[in-house]
Amino acid sequence: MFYYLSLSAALFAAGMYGVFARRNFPAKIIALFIMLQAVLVNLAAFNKYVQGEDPTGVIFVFFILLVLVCQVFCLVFVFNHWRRQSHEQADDSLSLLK
Amino acid sequence: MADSSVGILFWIIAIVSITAAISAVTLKKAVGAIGALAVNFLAIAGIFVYLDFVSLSIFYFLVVGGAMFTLFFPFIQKFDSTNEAVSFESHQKIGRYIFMAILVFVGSLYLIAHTEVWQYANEARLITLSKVLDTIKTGFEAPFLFTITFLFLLLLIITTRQKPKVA
Repeated sequence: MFYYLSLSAALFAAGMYGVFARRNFPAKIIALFIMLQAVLVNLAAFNKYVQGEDPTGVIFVFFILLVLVCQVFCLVFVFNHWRRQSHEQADDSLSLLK
Repeated sequence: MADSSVGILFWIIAIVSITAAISAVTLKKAVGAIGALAVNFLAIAGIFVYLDFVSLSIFYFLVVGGAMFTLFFPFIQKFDSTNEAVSFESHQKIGRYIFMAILVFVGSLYLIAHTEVWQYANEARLITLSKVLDTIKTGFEAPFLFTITFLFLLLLIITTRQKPKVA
């Protein structure tokens, strides 16, 4: 279990570095994704070595993944909305120039 | 603490996963970073298989793969690799240092796992350099040690080498 926790800690550290060091929004999302993966590995390892046959940790991982999917769709919706709005503003400014 | 359940496959997956994560965080181009993230995602799915959670691994592969594709497809489509506006800031130097730190960390873990140093620490016995050297000699064979040292030095040279500036 020590190895899984070490791997998880290394992944989490890499993700945290990305979240703090990057200014680009997609890069921050990628770093957050890596941190989430570290948490999932931690949960699975604890489930195997501490809980044994009881699948509580794995069920947690399933729910976290479902929440992740919902968040991704919200993000895509927000991106699309933001892009559409910025396009409309650009069109307005062009027509004003005309 | 030579855990027999953790084999060489785990180390391969772990090193691939960590290297891909560091690449995803430090790479300059957006498309390259997303590719590295995909490699990291596959390695994590492998870790789940290694932990005997095959159904979780399949679910993870389908759900997270689909989510990643949905989220990053517009970026891949929109951001061409030659487009400078979408290049991430360069953190190559820091990335190299982190890579070296990870190498040292993994190497020391491997060393601890295959020697009796962990046992000494567990039993609060006095650890001397000669004892550590003895355990290294008995735990490893000379060609293996030579190969590991050579590969480590090669990686050190490759990662810390400065590129010549073109005038």
